[in-house]
Amino acid sequence: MKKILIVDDDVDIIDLVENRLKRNNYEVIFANDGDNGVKKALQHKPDLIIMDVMMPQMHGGEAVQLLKSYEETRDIPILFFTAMNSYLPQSTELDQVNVAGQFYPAITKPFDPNKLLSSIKTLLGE
Amino acid sequence: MSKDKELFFVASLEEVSVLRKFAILFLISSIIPMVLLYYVYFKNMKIGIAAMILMAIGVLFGYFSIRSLLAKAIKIAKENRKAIEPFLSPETVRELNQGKNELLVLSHTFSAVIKQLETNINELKIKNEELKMLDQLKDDFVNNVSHEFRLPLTIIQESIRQASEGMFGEVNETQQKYFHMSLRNIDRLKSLIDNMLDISKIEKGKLEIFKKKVDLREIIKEVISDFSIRVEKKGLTITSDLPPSPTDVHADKDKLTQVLINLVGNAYKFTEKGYIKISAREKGGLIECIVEDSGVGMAPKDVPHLFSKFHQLGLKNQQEKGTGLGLVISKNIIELHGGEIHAESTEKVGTKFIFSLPKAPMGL
Repeated sequence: MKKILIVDDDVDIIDLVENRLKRNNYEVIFANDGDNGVKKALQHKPDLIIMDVMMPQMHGGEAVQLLKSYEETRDIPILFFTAMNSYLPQSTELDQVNVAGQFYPAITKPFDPNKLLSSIKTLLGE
Repeated sequence: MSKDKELFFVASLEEVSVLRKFAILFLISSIIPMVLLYYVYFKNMKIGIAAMILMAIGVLFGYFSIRSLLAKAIKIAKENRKAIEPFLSPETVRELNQGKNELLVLSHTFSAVIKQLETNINELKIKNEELKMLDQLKDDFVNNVSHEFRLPLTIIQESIRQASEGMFGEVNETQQKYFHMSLRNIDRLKSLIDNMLDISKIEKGKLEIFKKKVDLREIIKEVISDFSIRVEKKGLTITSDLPPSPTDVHADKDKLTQVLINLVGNAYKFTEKGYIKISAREKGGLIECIVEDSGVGMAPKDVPHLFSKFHQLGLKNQQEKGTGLGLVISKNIIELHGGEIHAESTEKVGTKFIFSLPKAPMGL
């Protein structure tokens, strides 16, 4: 069973995404901010990380940069999950997030569950 | 303040003629007598007297022309008295009433008017700054609101969707009906928020499109399938007339879908019986798309205002409301693609929205 880490400061969002993922036979772990997200990633080595952007303490972009700096977490695929694109740096596609010149796939809130699941499948190589 | 402007205008006209008259005066009262005096001093007494008389005439002429000039200016000032008086000191008003100190009164008047204009300009500058700040506040507000609305909306939508999918137990038909009703209205709220954000981007020239080759027929089919249930329920038909070959345009698929949803949404809103029809065809190197309905239509005088902000006609269908931004956004999207959109309408017969887009270049 593939393990997915959800990093989001909104517990309701985590609850709902967890429902969806568990139904589709994924194991789910979660963290409520970027800092804890990085810690959990190092500890549990998930197969995929779903990352919110706007979070207190450490935002999603910073967390991803940090994750990319550790060898243990460097290769874990990232899927951004965000309510707003205009805070993010310019990207060529609406469903991508740019972190330090590197583009990552993104799902915008409100989200289409089918799109969320198909993005997860693609990133996991399923 | 139009009276003051008039006063300045007249005064500057008078200045020109004053200069001209002073030149003549100078000639008559100074140069000629001087020459003559010079002549007399050395030659003849009679010519000397003649020179004196000429000088006297010159001085008198000068005096009267200056007087008449001033009299004109003062007459204007008096005519403008009502507009000027609030800017004058009480003494000046008294002096003016006594007919004294005319020059002083005039100069007071002018400086009072100038002072007032300066005050007005400063007030306008301050107001302008305030408006700029308000505009910025509005943009920030729209940005924040759209973000703050999206999150709870996401949670509400996903909870209801999961319930409606039966994730928390079996759902009966009535429950399902109300779940769908909620979901439909969440979509409505979502598009209102998106519209607000779009219009704020359009105003800043920041609405962006990401173009790819896309077959317009596919978008039309998707939009028709989105609307089919609603349209059927209202007793209308929705059909399409599409060519057999692809109608490829170089466009932002999401944005173009938004335009079509908007146009079909309008047709649905304003049609009580009959049909909605979407057609697409190639026409002179462009792809033309027509959204047509048999709805209430509108008066010819209303058609040109359709694409301006917050314009919604006072039609009988009062329960159907929107932000009135949809067509503004649609027009902007079409124009960002290098296309054009317009409407044709006949009251009680129906409305046609026609837009055209450049064809996708070969090899894309």
